[in-house]
Amino acid sequence: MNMNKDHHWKEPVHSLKKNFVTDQIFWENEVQANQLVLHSLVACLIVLGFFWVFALSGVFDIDRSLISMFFLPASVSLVIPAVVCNLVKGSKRWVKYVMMAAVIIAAAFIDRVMTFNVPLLIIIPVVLSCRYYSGAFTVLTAMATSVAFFVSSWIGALRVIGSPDMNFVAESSSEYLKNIMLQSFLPKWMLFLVVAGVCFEIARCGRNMVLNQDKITKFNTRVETELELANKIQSQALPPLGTLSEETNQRVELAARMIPAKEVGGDFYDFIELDENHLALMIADVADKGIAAALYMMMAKSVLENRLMTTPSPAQVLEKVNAQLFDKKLKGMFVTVWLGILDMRNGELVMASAGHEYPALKRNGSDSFELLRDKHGFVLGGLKSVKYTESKITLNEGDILFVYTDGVPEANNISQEQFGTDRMLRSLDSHCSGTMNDMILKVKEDVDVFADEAPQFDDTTMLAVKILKHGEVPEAKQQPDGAVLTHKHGEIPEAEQQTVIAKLTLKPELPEIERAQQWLLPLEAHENLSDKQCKKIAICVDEILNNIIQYSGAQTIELEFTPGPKDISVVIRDDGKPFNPLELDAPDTSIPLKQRKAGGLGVMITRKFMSRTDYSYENGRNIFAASLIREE
Amino acid sequence: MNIKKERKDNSLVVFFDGRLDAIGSPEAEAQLVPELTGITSLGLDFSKVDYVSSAGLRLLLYLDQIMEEQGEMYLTNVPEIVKEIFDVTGFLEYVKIV
Repeated sequence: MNMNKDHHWKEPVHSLKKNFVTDQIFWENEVQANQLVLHSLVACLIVLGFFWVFALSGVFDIDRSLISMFFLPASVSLVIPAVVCNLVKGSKRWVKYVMMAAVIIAAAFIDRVMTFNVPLLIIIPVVLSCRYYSGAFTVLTAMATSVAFFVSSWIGALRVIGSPDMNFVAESSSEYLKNIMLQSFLPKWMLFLVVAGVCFEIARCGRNMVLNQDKITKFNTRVETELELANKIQSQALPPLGTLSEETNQRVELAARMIPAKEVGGDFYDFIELDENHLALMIADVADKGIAAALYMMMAKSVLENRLMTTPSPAQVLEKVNAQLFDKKLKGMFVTVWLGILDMRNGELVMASAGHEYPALKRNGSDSFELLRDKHGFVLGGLKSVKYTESKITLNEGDILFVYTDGVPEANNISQEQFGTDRMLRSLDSHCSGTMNDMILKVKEDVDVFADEAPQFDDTTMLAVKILKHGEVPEAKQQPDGAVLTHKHGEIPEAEQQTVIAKLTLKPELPEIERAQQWLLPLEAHENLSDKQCKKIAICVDEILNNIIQYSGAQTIELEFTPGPKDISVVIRDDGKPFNPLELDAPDTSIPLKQRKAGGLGVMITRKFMSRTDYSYENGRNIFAASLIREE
Repeated sequence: MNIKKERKDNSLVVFFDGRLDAIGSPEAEAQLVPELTGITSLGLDFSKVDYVSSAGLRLLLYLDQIMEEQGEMYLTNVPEIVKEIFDVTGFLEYVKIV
């Protein structure tokens, strides 16, 4: 990687692409500069008009015979380029040369006729030229101006034409020429060079400024694109509501929403069907906002989810995740979490809170929401070892539970007044008759109306659950193997923990393999498997999933992990077309690589690595089972 | 899959970091194959490879086929578990491990 970067930096600066982009920027600038010069031409014309009037009316002491002779060509030389520039809208490369030449010629003409009145005239072209942010153009202008004024002075000194400078009158004409060139032109020209030098420097600085500006703009665009992408990933990391099973939807109504204050947020909600009867609900708020919070959120979320798969007790989950997050040694980062596991058979909700806001509860029949002051533990990731306590309530049919992050009660209006939990509860009261989704949207509306013009300061996340009815899943719908987590929450005897069966449902997409591997890690760690054994299982799962995803046409895949006393079993079920991988002919490994056909290797690796592999096809599903004997 | 490349004249050493599986291998392939033009010696460092799945084996096979025509290919720092995969699949005899 580093090598690549170095290489990148050493790329020649003058590569074609770069030049093209730079040219583009400076071309835009040049068109603007042309506008400025055009306006200056017009301004010069107006001033010239005044001079003309003053000269004719005798305010200026100028030889009348010279007036039209010089003012007319000067005006023409200004008018023509002005008109031309206007016609092409300043968007031709040659426009700047034409206009600058016109300004120089006009200035030289005027200088000849108003020798004493206009000493500043000589610096006008070069001052204008620095607006083009090109050192070369400024130098060119300075040189052209020098030549033009030199010629103009010389002609004046020869007394060929124009008004002579009486300050330097001499006996002979050669003396006069010497006086004019040395005493009049030379000092003026030397001062002009100073101004030209300054203009050159301004042009160079302007050029660098434009380049830096461009760099910053590009950087901003990149950051914006990346944030947009991050936002997309983050919102996709939140579980979509449509994925809940039909049985769950019949028993609870769920709605949730996360509105980040910046592009990405540190809040999240989550709900996971642990099995057909248990629904885990979670809401969390990472301290701080923005990218750091979002990254921490993604980490906390996956750690929490993984732990939840193996540990069906909210307090234990929080304890273990706290230790894990603390170990990351990210000082000052922490997350508040409210976690509940709902038994949909009887409405029993076991919950634990790590410094999170109190949930709001509305009992069926009651008019109003009230805060549920459950026991609070310390935030996750702050202290090494924290104990959390669980509280248990029963949610009856029609009850609504609402959890949220501080973005709701702590929303500020312009006069720094907070929305507050009371307003939140009243808002909930007035909107709870509709669907849960409507309720959440209306609460957010109320918050927005209250906040008025004040910008959303914190991420705002809400999750609402309404109990529709209690009840078991009909027998026929239950998995043949029984519940995933076969324990009552919070009371798992140590010995029994050994036989927890964990199950994961996967979509038929390749990235899901990675998710399966991540899911396996804590399970394997829990079983004290050796690194080698973990890898063997990982390879086996990888190969089988890969086959199913790429060839079987399955819609869903289930992965089961069952640690037995003597061996570890992995079972993979899919609803794709029937296919027994074990019937595949093993490739002949004695054939040189070049002559081999691809395929069959994966299954062979699986068979050789695992102690036992079985295949069966039941109820429209392929069932592939593999087990690995524990090491002594 | 992170890939670090060290190139010196016509030899290229590649340091894989991650898993050469169904996801990592196509990534590695996309990054490597265009760089092979003119390479006569290709070294693959496996010290940071967790495991190699059949997709990874296919990549090795492919690279080996390319290098067969233009030079040599060798593997270094191959972890035990990966060696075992090479063993059961018969790759061990045909790839050069130094």
